[in-house]
Amino acid sequence: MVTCLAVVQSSTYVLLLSVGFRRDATAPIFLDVPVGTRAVDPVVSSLALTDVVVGATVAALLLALAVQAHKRHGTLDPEALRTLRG
Amino acid sequence: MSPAVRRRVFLVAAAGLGALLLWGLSGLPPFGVYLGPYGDVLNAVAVGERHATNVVAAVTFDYRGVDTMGEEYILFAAVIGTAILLRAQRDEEEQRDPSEAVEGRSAPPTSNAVRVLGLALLGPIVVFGVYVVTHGHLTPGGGFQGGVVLATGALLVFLSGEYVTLLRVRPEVLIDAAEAAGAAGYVAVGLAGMLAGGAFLDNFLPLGHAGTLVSAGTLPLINLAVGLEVAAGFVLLLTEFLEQTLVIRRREAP
Repeated sequence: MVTCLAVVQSSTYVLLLSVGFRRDATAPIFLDVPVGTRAVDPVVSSLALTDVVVGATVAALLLALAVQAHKRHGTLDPEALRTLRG
Repeated sequence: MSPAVRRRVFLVAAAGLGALLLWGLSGLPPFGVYLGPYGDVLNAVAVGERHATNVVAAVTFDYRGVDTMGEEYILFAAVIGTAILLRAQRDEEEQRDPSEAVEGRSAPPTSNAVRVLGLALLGPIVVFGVYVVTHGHLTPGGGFQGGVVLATGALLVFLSGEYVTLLRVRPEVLIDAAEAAGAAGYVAVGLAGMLAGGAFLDNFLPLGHAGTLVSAGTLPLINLAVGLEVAAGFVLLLTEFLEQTLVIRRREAP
């Protein structure tokens, strides 16, 4: 389940970055190229940048949940974990 | 609801969602053609307005700084949630004496090759991480990426030494303080902008020359705060997971 979430998140990053892509354009870093050269969209790059790091932490949180669920019930099968026990 | 009924409901909903997604995807411009105005506007004005050559960092920490603050706090909350979930429960205890480690549950002894390589790579990784964090407004990088690189350095230390003996050093207080300082630092810079007479997270410091290390006003400060917070957060995650496997034991029945 954590893997499914990671795959879906990664696919959204790819979609975002492909929306902002422009052919034959460089990265939006103007340290060694003059301002005005064709560059890709910086807004979607910044969205993907923060999301990747945050997604890794959320995956860690889900794995911690999985560890505790396994310790309590001995299984990770979602069918067997359906009823909430006090 | 039986599993078969659930599966059928899911298939209907998935078909609907798939149709919506395909319709949306087909309405996008062809790949490689970028029409939107915001990217071009930002690329044209960001270097002049903020004296930062990394436009992505200017967008992340200045033009859309409030969004990044929210994302940083998602990270903070996830780290806190993991720390809460993985603490010792009522019927468990922490066991820090390595001589009482149960057979088969202790960490495998590290080979000398791993130890040498890990400690040899630690210096370059820390330097590289600090470089990525501090040069975030000039070259690709920034607080988020550099913080993760620094946390990788900590992981190398864990991998190349016995973890339980490292616990005797007890750096947890320092890591917690560093993470809180990073999270609070972001808001502190924002509030300082308000105190200086502007809006929250206003870029009020002198902007300097584009391309030098001290430029772009509050951008390097926010970069440092985010880098500190991300690095400390990931190191905390690593210590929590390692403690869960190596140190926390079910309490022996008396």
